[in-house]
Amino acid sequence: MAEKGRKILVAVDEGDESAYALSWCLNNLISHHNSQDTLVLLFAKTPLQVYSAMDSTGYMYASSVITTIERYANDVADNVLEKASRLCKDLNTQIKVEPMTELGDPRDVICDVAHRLKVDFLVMGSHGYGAIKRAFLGSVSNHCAQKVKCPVLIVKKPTN
Amino acid sequence: MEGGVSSGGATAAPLNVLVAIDDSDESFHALRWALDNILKQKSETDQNSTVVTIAQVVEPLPRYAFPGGYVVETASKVQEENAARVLSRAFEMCRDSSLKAKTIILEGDPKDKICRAVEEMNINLLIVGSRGLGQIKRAFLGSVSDYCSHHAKCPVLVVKPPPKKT
Repeated sequence: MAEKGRKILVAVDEGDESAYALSWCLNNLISHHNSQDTLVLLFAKTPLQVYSAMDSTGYMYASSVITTIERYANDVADNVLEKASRLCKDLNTQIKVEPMTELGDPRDVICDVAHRLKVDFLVMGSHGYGAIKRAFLGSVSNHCAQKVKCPVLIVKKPTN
Repeated sequence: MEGGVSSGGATAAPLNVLVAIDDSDESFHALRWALDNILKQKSETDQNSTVVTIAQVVEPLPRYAFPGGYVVETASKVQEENAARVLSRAFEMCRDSSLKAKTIILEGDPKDKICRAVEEMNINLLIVGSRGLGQIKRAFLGSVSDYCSHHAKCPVLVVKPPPKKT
């Protein structure tokens, strides 16, 4: 019986929590044998705050600096996505992986992509700011969990 | 857990799933969605590896609100029957998807009880519905799904109600 594959959106960033969320999802929710699922790995690049050259009140970046910063940001994005894709392939050789990167605030980017691609569900890690004893959801996961229309799986990394 | 990425959970260990149910359509929708999209796949590939616990939390009747003992008894009996009906319906849904399921009734405040149950029963995944309240209503009425996603010790899957077809 051909199972219709699910499209699962996983939000990744440089932190460990999203990598843990990704591996939890691969280990527990996706079958290892003949999964038809597609995993979309989304990395949100926060845009650089650039002040126009005419405005003298803010810092002005020389264009070469901007290029370097952008190149660095792209490298970070590629690195994160490559690490995440490799993690997927290690844990599950048959699953289809689609890395993607979008520019913008993570909260909006994730909700936007989830709606645009009509994913079956969204997987996010949560940073759980550690200073406060009782775990709090990171603001991105909280915001997305409330705003997005599809089911959301929030995976907190255990503290041990 | 040193350096690199820690793997998230063993593959062969059974997955203990807790589904929080009440009388509402949203929680049944959450159960239905979870059965169709998450749990069915698991049950087809590895038999006997997923255990679904359906939990319904009933708020205890306020004893002071009723005039006499007789009324309290009838009211709590009605409550029990309602709970049993909800749970058996949920149990049937699980059975139709050929999943091992068990039902429990918890008494008390839903938010606390669900999170406590997650710890005590060693749950790997908590599934809750969501009423889709806006920001303000959430702040006033309180949201069980919000609370659980903040405080539960396991991953939480929040299933939103289906979009209303106008």
